[in-house]
This record gives sequence, structure tokens and C-alpha cells, in this order.
Amino acid sequence: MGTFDLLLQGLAAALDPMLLLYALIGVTLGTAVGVLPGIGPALTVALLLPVTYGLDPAGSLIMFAGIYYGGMYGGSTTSILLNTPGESASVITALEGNRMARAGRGGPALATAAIGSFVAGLIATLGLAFLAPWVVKFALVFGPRDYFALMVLAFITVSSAFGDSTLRGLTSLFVGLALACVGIDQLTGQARLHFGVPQLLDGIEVTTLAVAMFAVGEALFVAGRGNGAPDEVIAVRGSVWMTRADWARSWRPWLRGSFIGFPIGALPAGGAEIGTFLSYAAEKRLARHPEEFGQGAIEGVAGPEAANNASAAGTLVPLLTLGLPSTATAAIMLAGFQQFGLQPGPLLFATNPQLVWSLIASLLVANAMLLVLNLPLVGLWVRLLTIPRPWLYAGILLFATLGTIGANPSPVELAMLLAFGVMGYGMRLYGYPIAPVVVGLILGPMAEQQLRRALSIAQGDVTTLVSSPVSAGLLAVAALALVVPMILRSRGRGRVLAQVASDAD
Amino acid sequence: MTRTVAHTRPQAGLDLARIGTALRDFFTVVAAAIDASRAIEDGKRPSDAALRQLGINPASFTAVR
Repeated sequence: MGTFDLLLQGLAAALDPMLLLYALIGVTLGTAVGVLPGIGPALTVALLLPVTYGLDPAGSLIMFAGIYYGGMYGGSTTSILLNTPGESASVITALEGNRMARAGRGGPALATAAIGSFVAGLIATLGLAFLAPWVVKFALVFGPRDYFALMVLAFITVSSAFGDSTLRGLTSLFVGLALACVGIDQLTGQARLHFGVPQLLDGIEVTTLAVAMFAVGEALFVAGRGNGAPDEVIAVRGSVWMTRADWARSWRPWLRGSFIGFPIGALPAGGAEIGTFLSYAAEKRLARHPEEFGQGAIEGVAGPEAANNASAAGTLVPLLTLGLPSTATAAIMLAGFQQFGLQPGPLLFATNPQLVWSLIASLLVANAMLLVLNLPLVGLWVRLLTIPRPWLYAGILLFATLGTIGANPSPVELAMLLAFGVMGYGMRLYGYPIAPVVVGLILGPMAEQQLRRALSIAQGDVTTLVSSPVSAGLLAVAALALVVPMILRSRGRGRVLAQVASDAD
Repeated sequence: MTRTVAHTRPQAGLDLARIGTALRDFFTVVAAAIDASRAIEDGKRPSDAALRQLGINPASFTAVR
């Protein structure tokens, strides 16, 4: 059966009323959290993990994906109207979009962001649908040593990609791997690192760690920062529609942004912000009026917003086909899959094709829903910004605690929630990324299992790990993923510093 | 009758130099994008030099909260 037939089948399944409802809830929540600065899709999905434990897996995963997409849409609203990015990936939109809003062109700015997000989401989701089967075909030949090499690649890319210090990223990763050792050894049945606490024999719950790090830790971090200056919301004056000139200036940046953002999001070390910065740089170089950049150039909103949304779909390529998370939200979604006993990767396409294709098709539906939600309801989203931050974070803490206790009613679980929350706060404070901890906890046991299987098949011969072309290739890519960002950073800084020095002369 | 000698070698050299410069510029911009992206993820402000490489006026970035 071809990809197109599978996608159509998935679309038929995704049009089920219950799944449509899950998609609608997801995109609405996603847009809301995207609008609210400081709260992102990762935190929201983490909060919903305990709640969705007993729900339909397909619906829950569609809801999570909707939250991810919606977050990218919603972030532009705050960027344009408040000059405060709702999402880190919308920071570029704030540069030009807010200028447009101050000039009375907030409506066209919001419109180009929303339509560009839709176009990019559509292109990127179709890209995901047609690229995924090829990646899966390649990955189906994997054996235990190849899977282990893939996990090492995931560890290295997550550690070197998050944060500006590879050392801190690796430290976070090893914290996660250490936490993954707690519990019962899968092969020998021996208890490890449980310190005599019976509740730790089952290991540390991913949902507890994710909720603690992303929700509790974030709430403590925001509380620790204190009150900022009150937000000044710029009212949307005039029409929200774009003029013919706006359309003419926007459609190329939408397409360019989509083709820049999608491959970057699909790279294991990618991230939405990189795509938006590259898109902005490209649009400025290609614009007919580059002098308008910095004063409210519509291309500077259209391109980066498209890149932003295309990156989100691109992130799902390594997640669904290989089980590799490349962003914090993808790491939490991976936890969501595992919660339902599903392991993203090539086998998921083989054993559960209906779930995967209905998820991909739902993204197309969610994309259309988001276009309808964002433009006409922009006034409603702006009202969310009037909710006092203390109320918001108090609600998050309450929801996090109740969700955790509801899923695992145990004082030890509650103590772990608070302890990991404080740890997450400390890590945020000292610049240690949080996502590698979650990835280490999720993928650590699987990596250990694959390694021990590979070694037992080879009767203890370690060279088996590099004896297959696939495993050797993946380990080589992992080494490059560790070294190349460091080289690029040092070269980039070196070149940039040299340029600054020559400018000063 | 004059003969025109095709100066292919210097032309090829010029093309290679242009390609080299374009690649260097590309990698510089990519490095600046990665730098800026990591700073944003950490909740920090990207460096002025990285912002300039990306065509962004550092003063306008300061206004973004």
C-alpha cells in the first residue's frame, strides 16, 4: 500500500468525532500555552501525562501533537502584540511583528503569521508523511547493536544540542541515566539503587520526573525571578486582513521558511529557533527592501513563522521513525508514547500503522483548525494575557500535584515530585538543560537492554558494536554531532569576534 | 586573423573562490544561528556579534522581553 493510500486511510480514521475532539482540545490548549509567555508545549504535555494515563492512546497522542503545533501558532500572538515571545521560537517574530503592530499593522502581522504557519504546517506534515516510510524502511534492518548506536546518537545530540555547553548537557544526561538505573535490572531481576524503599523497585516514573522538572521546576524558577514590568498589549487596529501587496511579499517567505525549517527540525540536533534565525537572515538577504528590516518588514514575520511551524513537523520525523527526540517537547511526547506501552520507531509503523497514520493525518486536520482558531479569535487569546502570573503558576503547581497523586497515590511519589522539582529549579538556575535528564531516563533502560543483547550475541566481544556498517555509521555521526557544534561555535565566535574587531578598527 | 585564447583556468579559480566564500559565509551564518538559538533556549540574550551576523540590529533585540 502506497504512502498516499496510508495517509488517506489515516485521514478517514482521524475524522472520527472523538479524535477530532481530542485534536480540537489539543490545538486550543496549545494555542493558549503558546500565547502565555513562560509556559510552553513541553510543560503542558508533561502536566497532561498523568491525566491521560487511562485515556485512549491515539486520542491522547493526537492531543499532544495538537498542543505542540498550537504552541508554535500561539507564540506569534504574544510576540506581535506584546513584544514578548510566547515561545522561544517566536523571538524573531517579535522583532518585526511588534514594529508592524506599533505602526498600526498588527492585523496583517497576525494574518501573515497564521497563514504562514498553516502553509508551513501543511507542507511539512506532507513532508513527514512521505519521508517517514523511507526512514522506516532503512531502520527496519536494525539489530541490537544498531539500536544501541541509535540510542548513543540520541544521547549525544540531545546533550550537545540543548544548552550552550556540551559539558552541562552531558552532565544532565548522566543524571538521567543514573536515575534510569533505579529499580529492577531487566535481565537479571536484581534490585538496584532502591535504598530499601519498596516504591523505588518499579523505578522512577517518567511522568513524575517530567512533571517535576518542567512544571514544578519552572514554577519555582518564575517565582524566583520576581515580578517583571507590567505588559503593554498593543491593540489590533484596523483590518486583520492582508493587502494584495502583503500577500505578494509573504508567499515566497512562507515557502522558503517551510523548506528551511523542515529539514532543520528533522535533524536530531535541530531546533525551531535555528530555523527561524536562518529564515530571517535569508529573507533579509533576498528582500527587495532590506532597509525595512528592523522597522516592520512583513517578510521578517512570514518567513520565520513558517520556519518555526515547519520545524515542529520536522521534529516528528526522527521521533516517530527512529524514536529520537530532538526537542524538549518531543522528549515528553516520547514519554507519552511509552506511557501507553508504545515505542516510537520503525516497529511502530509495522505493528501499529493505523495509530501512526491517523496521528500524521490528524496533524493536517489540526493545522486547519489552528488557522480558524488563531485569526478570528485573536481577541480571546489576548485576554489570556490578563491572567495574573501568580494565579497561573499556582494553578500549574496544583494541577501537577493532583495529577501525580492521581496517577500514583503514594507519599514517596509526592516527595519525589517535590525533590525533582527543586532539582529542576537548581538546574534552570545554573544553566543545566532539563530535557537530557528526561531523555536519559526514558532511553537509558532501552539502550542498556540493546547493549547487553548485542554483547551476549557476540559473546562479550565489544568490537561487535562497530562491526556493522549501520552501527559504525551511527556512532560516527554521534561523534560528529558531539564535535561539530563545538567547532562551529568556536569558529563562529572566532570569525564573529574577528569581524567585530575589524569593525572597531 | 586573431585568435582568442580562452582563459579557463583563472575563470575556474574565480568560481572556486566564490564557492569557497559562499560556503564560509553560509557556515558563519549557521554558526551564528546555532549560537543565538542556544542562548535563547538558556533564557539568555544572544551575543551582539551573532545577531549582526544574522542581520539583526542588537539594539532592537534588546527591546524584546
